Amino acid sequence: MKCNRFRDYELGKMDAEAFVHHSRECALCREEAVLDARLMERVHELQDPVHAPHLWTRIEAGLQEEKRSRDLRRPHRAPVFRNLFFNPWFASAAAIILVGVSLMLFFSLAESTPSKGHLAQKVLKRIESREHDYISAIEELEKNVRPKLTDMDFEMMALYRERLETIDTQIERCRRALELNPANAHIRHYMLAALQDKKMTLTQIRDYQ
Amino acid sequence: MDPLQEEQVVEKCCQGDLSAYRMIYERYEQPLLRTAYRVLGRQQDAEDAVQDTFMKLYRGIHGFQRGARFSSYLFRILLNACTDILRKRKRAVVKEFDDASHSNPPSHEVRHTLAQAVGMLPPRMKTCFTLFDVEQFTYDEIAEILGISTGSVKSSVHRARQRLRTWLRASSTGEKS
Repeated sequence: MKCNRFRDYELGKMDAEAFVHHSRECALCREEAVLDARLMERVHELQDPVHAPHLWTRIEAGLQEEKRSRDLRRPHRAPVFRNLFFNPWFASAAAIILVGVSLMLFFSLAESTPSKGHLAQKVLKRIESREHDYISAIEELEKNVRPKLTDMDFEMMALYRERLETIDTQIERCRRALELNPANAHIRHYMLAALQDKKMTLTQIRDYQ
Repeated sequence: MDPLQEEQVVEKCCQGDLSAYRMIYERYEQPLLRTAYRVLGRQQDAEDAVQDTFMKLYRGIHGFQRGARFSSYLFRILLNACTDILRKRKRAVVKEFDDASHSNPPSHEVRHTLAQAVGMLPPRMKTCFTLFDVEQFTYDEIAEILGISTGSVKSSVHRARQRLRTWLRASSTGEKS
C-alpha cells in the first residue's frame, strides 16, 4: 500500500491543515511525518563548524599575489586622476583646453616660423634699412640728373621720362603691396629690382653726352 | 552583516580593498566550508574550493550586478569551484546534479551518521538538501544559485529527504534488532 499525500504536502501541493487531518487516518503518512521530524532534529549534526584555522592566511596570500600581478599589468595612475578621467565634465573640459592650446601653439608657431615667401623680422629690418639707403641715394642722384633731362633732345628725353615713370609706377605698386604684407620676399625682390633699374636709368641719363 | 552593510562591503571589494574580503570571509566562512565539504566529502578539497571561490570573486567582482543577492552569487562561484575540483579528481562519474535514480539508497550497515548518509546522495540532491535544510536558503535562492527551476529544487529536496528517511528508518530498525 502506498500513499502520496506526504509527498504532496512536502512539495507544497497540500496545505498543513489538510495533511494533519489526513495523517490522523493514514498510518503511512503519519510514520513518514514522524521520520521527517526526526531527520530535521538531526540536521544540526551537519551544522557543526568545519575548522580551517589557516584558510584565511592562504586566501589572503593568494589575494595579495593577485593584486600585485594586477597592479603590474595595469599602468600606474594616481587615484585622483583616475576618478577625474572617468568624469565626463572633466573629460570635455580637458578636450576643449587641449584643442585651444593646440590652436594657439599652431598659430604662434606659424607666425614665428618664416616660410619660403616670408622673411623673418630681423632680416626684414635689415632689408628695409638697405632699401631706405638705396632710395636716399637714388633721390640724391635724381636731383642731379633731372635738370639734365631738359638738355636732351626731345626723343631721348621722352624715352627716359617714360621709362622713369614706368619704374616709379612699379616702385609705387611694390610699396603699396609691402604696406599690406611687408614680409613678402617676392615683392621685396621686385622692389629691389625696380630700384636697381631706376638707379641704372638715372646713371645712363647722367652719363648721356 | 545586514544587506546595507553587505552592499558597502561589496563596494569596497570592487575597489580592491582586501579588508573587505576578510569581512566577507568572516561572514560566510562556515556556510561555504560546510557546503563545499558536503559536496566534495574532503576537508582539504573544501578548503581549496573556498580559496578558489575568493580568487574568482576577486577577479570577477565587477561582474556582480548591484541589487542582486550577494550570497547567491558567492555560492554559485563556490559550487562552480566544487564542480571543477570534482572534474579534476576524475573520481566518480560526475553527472552534475543528475537525478541518479539508479544509484543505491543509503544502507545503515556501512553508514552510521547522517553526514555519511548525505555524502552518499547524488550530487544535485546533496547540494539542494544542504543548501535548503542545513544552510537555510530558500527554494528560489537555490534555483538562482544552481541555475535551475524552483520546481526542480523542490523535487530534489523532497527526494533527498525521502532517501534520508529511508536510511533513518533502516538505521533505527538496525539499532533495535
